[in-house]
Amino acid sequence: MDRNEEAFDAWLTGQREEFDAAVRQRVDSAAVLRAIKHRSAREARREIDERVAVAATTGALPDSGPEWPSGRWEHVDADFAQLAEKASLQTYSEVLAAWHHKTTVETVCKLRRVQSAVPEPDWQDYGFNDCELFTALSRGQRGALVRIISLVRPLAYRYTRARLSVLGVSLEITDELAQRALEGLVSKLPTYRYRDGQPFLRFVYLVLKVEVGEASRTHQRLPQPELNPTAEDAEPVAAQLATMLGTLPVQQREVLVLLIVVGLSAKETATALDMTPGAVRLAQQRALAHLRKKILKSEMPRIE
Amino acid sequence: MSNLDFEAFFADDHPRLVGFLIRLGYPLAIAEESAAETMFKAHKKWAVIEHPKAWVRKVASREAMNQSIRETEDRRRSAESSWLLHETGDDSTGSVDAQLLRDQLLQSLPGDRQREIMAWTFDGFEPTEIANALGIEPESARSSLRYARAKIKKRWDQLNQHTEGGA
Repeated sequence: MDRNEEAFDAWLTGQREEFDAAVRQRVDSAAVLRAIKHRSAREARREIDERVAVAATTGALPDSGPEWPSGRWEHVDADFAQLAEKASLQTYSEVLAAWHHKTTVETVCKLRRVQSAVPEPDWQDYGFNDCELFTALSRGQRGALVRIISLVRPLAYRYTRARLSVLGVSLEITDELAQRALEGLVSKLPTYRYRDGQPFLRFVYLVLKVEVGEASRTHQRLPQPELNPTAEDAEPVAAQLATMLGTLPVQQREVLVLLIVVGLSAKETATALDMTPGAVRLAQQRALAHLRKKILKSEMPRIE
Repeated sequence: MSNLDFEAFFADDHPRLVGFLIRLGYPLAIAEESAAETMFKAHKKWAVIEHPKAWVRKVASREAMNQSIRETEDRRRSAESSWLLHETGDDSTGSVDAQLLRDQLLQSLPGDRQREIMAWTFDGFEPTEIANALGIEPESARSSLRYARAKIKKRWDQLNQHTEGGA
């Protein structure tokens, strides 16, 4: 490339950066993100209510959606074996936590349009030299870690949303608590006894149950913010459907939460709850019959 | 981690996406509205989107085009019903900002295709990726990029000669 071309490229890059900086200053990304979260929370609540209503009135389980490919939990053991070849689960847990902290701070800085002062984590602290960890991760372990996290995160969000919807907690707060539950799960990763044959799904469920239980107790102790719902937010009747799950015995509620809201299959629900698939189906039938009776007795409009 | 990943992507790419739409020639108001709507859709589908940067650009281009058509149609209807006394065009604040921000370089390119390819290139995409996103042949993307670049360079050369001549 001749010098003229190089100078032209430099000029072009300068023009582009100047333009990008001007747009970044003009656009209020933080406000747009708040609006997106609010709208998403409203739709997620509506979706939970609809799934509960359809299941209770028709007895059929709603489709689990494209986020859950079939055979999703089957490869987890192989993924853990691949990770364990390179480092301990403690290491991955710490790396994820450090990465999480760095990403959070950088995100906040970008939204506030200020320079981030968080340095790159010192990966040598994790027992690796010359960023060997990331090199290793790029050869397969990274894929394994990403697969595990991508499997767990919708489960964490849907489970937390369902459990806290039962208590009538606002979904915007619920999503923050879901994020914390997911962080809790990452920090507890080293305690997973994958060599002892404990199904990963069972481990995830047990951790999430404790994390969500703690989150809901903390939330109940805190002063509740005064919300000014807009006309669009007001869903007095439909919003009560999720809370109906709270009238069920604990085991039946957990079965329905995992089947209807989280979208696990009967077999996966059985694994998570350490039950037999037959017991899950029985609990499901009883719980749905109970909900149907409740809906018939209440003044709620039935789903046609 | 779903929300964190999305938020990190959003903080980085949302202003770029607005800029991308402005580079395609849309006014600031439409660019902002379309980018916000697209990011909402991305948030909903976050778990299943494989290449979010390319995905939001494809969806946002369609969204901006639809909004633009709707707006033109609304204006036409309003004018026909005499709801508007005068043809005002863009809202004044929006158009001032848009004039300030609109990329003069890309606006000078003839044809939508060259402008589109250059806008994708400015956002870090290679010709093969652009061809994939736009559903065209990679060679066609390369060729449009070559022409667009040559035209901008010609303008840059003229600018330089003018500056040197004036000095």
